[in-house]
Amino acid sequence: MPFVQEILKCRSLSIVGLEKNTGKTECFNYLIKRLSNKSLSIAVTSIGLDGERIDSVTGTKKPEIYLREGIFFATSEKLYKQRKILSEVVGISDSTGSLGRIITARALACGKVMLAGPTGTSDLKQWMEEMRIKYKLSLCIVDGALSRMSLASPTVSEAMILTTGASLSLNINHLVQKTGRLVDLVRLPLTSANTFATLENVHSGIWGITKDSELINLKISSALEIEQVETVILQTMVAVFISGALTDRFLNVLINRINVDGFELIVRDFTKIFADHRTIFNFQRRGGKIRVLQRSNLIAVCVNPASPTGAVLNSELLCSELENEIKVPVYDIIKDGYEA
Amino acid sequence: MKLRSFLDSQSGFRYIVERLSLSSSYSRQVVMDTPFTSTIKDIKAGYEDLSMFYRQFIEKGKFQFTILAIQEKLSLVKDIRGSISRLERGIILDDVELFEIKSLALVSEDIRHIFIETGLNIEYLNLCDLSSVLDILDPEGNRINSFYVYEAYSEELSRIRKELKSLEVFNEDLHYRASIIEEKVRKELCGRLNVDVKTIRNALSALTNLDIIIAKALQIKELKLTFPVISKKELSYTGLFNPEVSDNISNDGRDFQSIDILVENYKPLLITGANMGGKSVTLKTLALSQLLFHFSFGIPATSASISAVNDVFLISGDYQDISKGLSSFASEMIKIDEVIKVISSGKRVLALIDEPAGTTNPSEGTALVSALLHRLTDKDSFIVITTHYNVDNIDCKRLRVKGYCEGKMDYSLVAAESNEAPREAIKIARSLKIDESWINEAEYIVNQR
Repeated sequence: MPFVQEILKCRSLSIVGLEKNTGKTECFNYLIKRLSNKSLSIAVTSIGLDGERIDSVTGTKKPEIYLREGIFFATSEKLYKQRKILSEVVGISDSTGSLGRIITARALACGKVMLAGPTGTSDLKQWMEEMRIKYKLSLCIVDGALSRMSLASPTVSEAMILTTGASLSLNINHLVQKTGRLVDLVRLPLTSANTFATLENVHSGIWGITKDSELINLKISSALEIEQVETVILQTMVAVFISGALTDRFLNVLINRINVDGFELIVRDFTKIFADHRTIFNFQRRGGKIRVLQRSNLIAVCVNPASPTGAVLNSELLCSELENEIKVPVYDIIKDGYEA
Repeated sequence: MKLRSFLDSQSGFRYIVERLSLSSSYSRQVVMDTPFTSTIKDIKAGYEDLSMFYRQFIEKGKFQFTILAIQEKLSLVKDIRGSISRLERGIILDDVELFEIKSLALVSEDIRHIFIETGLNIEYLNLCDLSSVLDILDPEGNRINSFYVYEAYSEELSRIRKELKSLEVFNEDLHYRASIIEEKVRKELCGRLNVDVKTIRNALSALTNLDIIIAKALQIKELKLTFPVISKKELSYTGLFNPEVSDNISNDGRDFQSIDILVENYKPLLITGANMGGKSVTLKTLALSQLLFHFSFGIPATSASISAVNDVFLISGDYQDISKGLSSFASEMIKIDEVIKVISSGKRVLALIDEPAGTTNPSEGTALVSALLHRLTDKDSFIVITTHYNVDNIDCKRLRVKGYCEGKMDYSLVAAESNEAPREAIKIARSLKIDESWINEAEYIVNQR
């Protein structure tokens, strides 16, 4: 399968599902199966807070990940005891999270295990660094969750795979549209190299950039306070950089107060955008541009045409419609099998 | 009382404790839980090991890399007391707990070998030989920090594992059969480990102790601290300095002026001197040094001779507590009363009282201080009181801050010739460059009298 080649170029990959039952676990298992053949050393973890992991709501079986010999994995102490795999413990985390201490282990034969690794961004980064440096692994794969999109941020993992499917919507058009919106955000273009250099070392606050590329601190701590900034000041800007979250209110103030045609709004990465797609559309239709400092490498979108309620969409139609809309390779892993 | 409870004392004890470069977070916990001791034997033992280690490994700086290597190993020491007591109670440990014990044994053996290479005698560190534990948990002799139930433990397990590994798909039945044997093996392992449980526990405390000794010894070198002589009837310091204040003012390019001071039991010491003469800092540093002594840290002086006490009181600053309806004066009086009560109960304390009754009128204030000195004379305790009042007719030792000379403050303490407190307030206020007419008028009023 083609996208495996793409993955080999990255050091870290996160898999994010747009909804439950979109085939994230299948995708995960598929990747592990394919990548282990490449005699590649990999580590896998899950952010563990994913709804389906502790699924007392639907009562569905918690998905287990199928691992092969040599793969490093992280899971909680409790889940480690329930493993169905021959593995050796190689490390125990210092910090105790909501699921207890995190155990890092190496698989010694093939088998199944439930993953529940570090849950915080910094813990996860640290774990991935340890895998890379201490065990010289070339790739870390993170089982992510839409509700914790920050972990799919390019500051944590270089590449991502999105899974979507019938559980999101049974209407193909609607499904394509919803998926397309997220993909649009993920693929927001990078800001110019000049602007990037100016903003590279800015870690907090909200900053304006004038015509002469001068950086001006707007002296507000969050986007919620944008109303306090005087219109006259905003009018002298050609771009604004928000280090935190981009909200509806912020966009609306810009749209209402100034002519946003050609105006550039810069965010750190797509996970910082919390504005509604309609507001973003409104901003962009008036000529406003949204740019990012760091861009995720969206490798592929995987679909699961089957919904947990039993309905199944036409896989071929879904794939082609989606691919047409988002211009990213779309795969139905379960149907195609991609054994080659 | 544990060390933890002294951290927020006004002496600035926290500053020293937080500057210990401990490698393991568990050692920090052990430091915090160290009990306050007044027993000379304990204090002496603490200093003996520390000074021995300091002389062997730190003083000349020859073993820098050895110490770094040991600290790196020590950083792997975790709080595994839970697993050790489970082992002791005969509970079968799981892979994760066995891994913890194996990690400890590996660290302990590695450190022992590093020390053996130096060829120095380190018996006093009581490091334990965990090679038998390691042999149990590392049957293949790989000496790698990982654990699972190895094939070497059971031939049958080895056969099943071979079959498991040869299969491309997961086999529930084989896995189940293996897990039953694994549990049997773990039971047997724990039985064998149980014999060594005391050694394992001692090894853990020896390693944390080593971590603490290294941190204290490095701090002595870094902050230029000293080892005290243990005395029975005096607190005597030459070149006493306050590391925190010294660090702060050295950032402004100034030097801390160290002082010499002697406090004897049965004889309260009264310090007078100009404002801004360092009296409060001296009291704080005395309190700090006393605490450091009881927890066997290095002492901030060029030489020190210190006696053990049962308690340290530092009464300095404003204790006004509006919530309890107490004025500054009332809260201060209540605190001093507590000191008198403890001393009367026969306990030996170090009491450092900064300007008692300083917030009330001078005539009654003077009376209160004189009477306090009288009340505390001939007690087997160490009392230091500072004041601006003229305390007459009381038999006590008197020191005075040398004060302003040649436009500079001289912080050293000298014997006070008269009973009169120095009058430099106006001179010092003038040096602060504040409203001139105010100061001039004050000076005029003083001269009128």
